[in-house]
Amino acid sequence: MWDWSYAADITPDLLRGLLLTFQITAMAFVVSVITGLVWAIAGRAPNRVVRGIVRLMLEFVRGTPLLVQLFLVYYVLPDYGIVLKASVTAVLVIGVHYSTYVAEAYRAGIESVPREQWEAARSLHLSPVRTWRAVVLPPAVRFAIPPIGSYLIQMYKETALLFAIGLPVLLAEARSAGGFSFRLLEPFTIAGLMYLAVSVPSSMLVSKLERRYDRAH
Amino acid sequence: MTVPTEFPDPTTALRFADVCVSYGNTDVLNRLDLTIGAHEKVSIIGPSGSGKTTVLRAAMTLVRPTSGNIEVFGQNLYQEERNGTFRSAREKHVRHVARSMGMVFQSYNLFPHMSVLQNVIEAPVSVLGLTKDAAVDRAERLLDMVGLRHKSDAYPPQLSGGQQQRIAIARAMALQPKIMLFDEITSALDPELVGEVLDTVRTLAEETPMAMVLVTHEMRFAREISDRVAVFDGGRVIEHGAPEQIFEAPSEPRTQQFLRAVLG
Amino acid sequence: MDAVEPYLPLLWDGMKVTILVTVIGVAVSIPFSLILGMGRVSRYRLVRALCRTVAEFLRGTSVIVQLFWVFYALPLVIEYKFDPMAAATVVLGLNCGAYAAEAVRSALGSLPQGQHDAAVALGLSQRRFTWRILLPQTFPRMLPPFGTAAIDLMKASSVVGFVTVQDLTFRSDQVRAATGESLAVYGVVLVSYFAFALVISGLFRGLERIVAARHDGRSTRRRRVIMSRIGTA
Repeated sequence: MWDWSYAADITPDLLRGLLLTFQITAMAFVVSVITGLVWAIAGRAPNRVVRGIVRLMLEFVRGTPLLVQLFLVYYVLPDYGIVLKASVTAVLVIGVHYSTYVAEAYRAGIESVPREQWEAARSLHLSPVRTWRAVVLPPAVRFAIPPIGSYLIQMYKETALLFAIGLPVLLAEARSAGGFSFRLLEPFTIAGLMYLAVSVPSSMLVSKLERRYDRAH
Repeated sequence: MTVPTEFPDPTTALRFADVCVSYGNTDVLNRLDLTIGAHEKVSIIGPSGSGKTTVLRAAMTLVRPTSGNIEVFGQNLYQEERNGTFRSAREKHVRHVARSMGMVFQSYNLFPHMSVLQNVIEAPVSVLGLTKDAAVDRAERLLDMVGLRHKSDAYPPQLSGGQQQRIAIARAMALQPKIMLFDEITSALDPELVGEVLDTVRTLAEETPMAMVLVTHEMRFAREISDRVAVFDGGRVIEHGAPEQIFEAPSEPRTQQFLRAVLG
Repeated sequence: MDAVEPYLPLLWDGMKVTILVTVIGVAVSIPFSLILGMGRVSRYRLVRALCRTVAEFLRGTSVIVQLFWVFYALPLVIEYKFDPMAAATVVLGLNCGAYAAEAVRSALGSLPQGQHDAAVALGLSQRRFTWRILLPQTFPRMLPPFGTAAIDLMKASSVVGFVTVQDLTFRSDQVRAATGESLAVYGVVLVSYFAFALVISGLFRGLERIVAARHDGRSTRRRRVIMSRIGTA
């Protein structure tokens, strides 16, 4: 039933897929962290209309399936003459999708800074820029790190979807390995274990971070 | 430390004229008139909810009055003259006029992610433009004055309330304000820690010429260090005068009522 | 858009399947999350560890990986081919339930210790405590995360097309291939999912309000009864 030599044969291919998974996850994470900050700042704009539009866009992107968003960008852009590599599309779509979650984490972090801290900064006549940089952002970002860490892990798992746009990520390699020989047990099991091997320790790490930062004040 | 002559009125630190502050339908400050001289130490006493804290918050630009004028050394805080007329001031003007004031809060409000030293040098460096060395120098002298130089590298959460409050005083003093506002700075402290903070404030009162406005429940202390005591009730000053006069022979019935309740 | 119009009924078929999958998936995930969540705060270390392991395992891989494994790999081991709909709803329910179990666990933990102390003092059994004191008071706090989990389940359901369940995403791919109108097709599909998400959150917010009102109403009634008793005493 379980063929060990076959398992050994396909493992190198699976590892290659895992490597691509890591690369795309890392780049998408960078996109999400930066874009999320843009959303968070835009969401505090004085103009009510701007705030409303930002909120609507965030809800829309966060409230619809990533897979459909992937398909949308992957198939629509070439119609308008923009031809991107599949990996670039993947990084952008996953990055922007999760930036909406990251933005929420930033917002919660900023709101976790007590009003009194803002008032102390004002009483010391610190400029708005300085107040953000020295007084508000450091504790806000610390507060936001554990949830952002868990979004990183989610992104890593969601890269599995990228097989649908032809990227040879871990799951795609598992499918193609199985496809050649119709032996699907080993590839899917090993792929599953590879995903677990990364995500379970990572989420334990994030839990430890949560406790260390003691966010439940 | 003399008051620079470029101020329109160097002899009057703060003037409240007909100031109203409302939260929703409630009038917290009700046509308040109050004047503080450039070197005066004034204590504000009165029942809770009388608007005492709001006076300081309005001066420190933490809350904007709904009507009336506040002047800092003769300069209007919330109105500026533009194109010949007085209009509601822009943020820049407000911040500029407020610069001569410093404030110490009931809950100290030190920055918890910065060390004690970093807390004290933050404003001198980023607001006054001092070099880090000059700021550290000034900070160490101030921390000496409050007796906490040995805690320079500690972080606020590691310190007692009394220690944090003394550091908050040093932090506010680092900008060398001409007016210091103290908002019930001992009310949140355990009784045994109150003395060390009051000692620090007494030193300031005795050794600096700056104007000081203290909202406080510490009646004995207020009597000891004040030039003048103002009694607050219903959002305005109901009487004011020398400490002996207020504490021994108050003329207003509400003042008598309040003092009886507080002092027994 | 005109090229897409004749295919709208097909998309609507897909939407109906998506709604069905979501509803059944939520029906599976909520009880499962309650069981798993209660297990996480059980008195017995073994139960706590077991539930923690199950939750980590289910959360550790994405839905698509689990679906593929259950649908393509598992049959090779146990020689049973699952019905696509059954496999899809169960996997979705268990996966999303594992995430919701965290919210259940923290809601259960939010009950003040005094409540348990009072129950012990009154001699209530653990079972009575759980069903009459713990759950009624903590359930309202679980509703918002359940709402979020339901929407997450709806989003996750977009992959069931890969195990031959013909949901909205599956149909959208078909229609795109047929018409080439990618923007119109995926635009309509995204808006449909968003509309469904809004309906789900509206439903849960309504539920929250009903539960809150019931909670208040009951305590007011009890207070009146007690007050009248004290009055006559």
